[in-house]
Amino acid sequence: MIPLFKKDLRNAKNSFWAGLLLGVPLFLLLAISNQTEPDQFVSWRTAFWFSLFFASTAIFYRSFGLECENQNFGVYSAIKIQPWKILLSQSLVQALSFFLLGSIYILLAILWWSPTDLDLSLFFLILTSVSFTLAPTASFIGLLLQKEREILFPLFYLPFASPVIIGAHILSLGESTTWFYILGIFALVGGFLSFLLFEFFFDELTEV
Amino acid sequence: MKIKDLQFERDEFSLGPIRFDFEETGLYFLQGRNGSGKTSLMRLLMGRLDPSRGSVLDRPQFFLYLGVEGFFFKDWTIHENWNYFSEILNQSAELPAACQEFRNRKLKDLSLGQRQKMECLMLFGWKTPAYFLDEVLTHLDGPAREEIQLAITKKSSESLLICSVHESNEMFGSYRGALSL
Repeated sequence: MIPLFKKDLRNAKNSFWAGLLLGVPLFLLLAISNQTEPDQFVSWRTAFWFSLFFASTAIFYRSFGLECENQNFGVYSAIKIQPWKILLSQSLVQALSFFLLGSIYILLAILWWSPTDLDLSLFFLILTSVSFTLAPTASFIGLLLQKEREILFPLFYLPFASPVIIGAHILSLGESTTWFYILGIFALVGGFLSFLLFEFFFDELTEV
Repeated sequence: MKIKDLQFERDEFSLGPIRFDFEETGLYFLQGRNGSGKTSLMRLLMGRLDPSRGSVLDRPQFFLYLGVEGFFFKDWTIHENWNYFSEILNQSAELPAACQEFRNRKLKDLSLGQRQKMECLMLFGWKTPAYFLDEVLTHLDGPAREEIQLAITKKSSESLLICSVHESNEMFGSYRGALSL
């Protein structure tokens, strides 16, 4: 499990930078357009979650990309590495990447919006919850894309992730905690289904 | 490992019936022209394809497969690949001496022949009951081919090696059996 995690961490570097660079222009566009609007209608929360959601597609989209490119699923299968460990490792790294991305974007939000209503402990709690809710499902869907099924990403990931991001946005208003339970349900159901189905699609990719 | 009346059919392609016994160790060849079913048979032997009829009995529990494309990370150095897969395989052997010269080179920076040679040598640096080698000599020049053939022959004294080739004159060493497709 540790070698898998170290490998995923190393391979995540490329997609992390791509994600970071994808979201920053959107963030800056929102910040600049907001400053030029008389009403300043875009809050730091909206800009933050929109940009993070947008940027995260770049990291999730590439889940297992290198493994498929280099055809090393066959080795994992040949030496009987349990598929759930492979998904768990990838999910942990993707959750970490998402969390790191969010931590960088919040610095941008502080820089551009100077929010007075930012509760950092609540913010990091929400960010952690969202990271672990999205990562397993997104990693699994990332795997599905490897067999020329790109259509599945907008078809499954976006409907799954949108309520999570909306929930995160509502939670960051600090008015209600009900969405934490909804995020929990999303995490459990999404995680369960991903781990359940992963094995089947993993077998498909072990074909040489 | 035993192949018992194995048949495989898909679309217009059919293979078998094949009946063949492999000893626990030794070198075996699968020989056939392009499209004759060598890779399909390997996949059937490894359990990555389901036969239409018949079965493969006593399949080795662990094995390694190497094809023309390899399975290593092309963007990593030889040394990094070696360390990672050694950890995954839970083996602590040293990087083979013949790979040391290229240890800090990325696989993608090597020529196809050099890469294939390095991949073969790394593969034989690990111990496993069986090795499936699908056209691994294809891109090698004379000296590299001899080096890998020697490594395969040496390895066949302790493991089962199943190697696919196109022509019967590509078979080498004191092999235990060959299956022509």
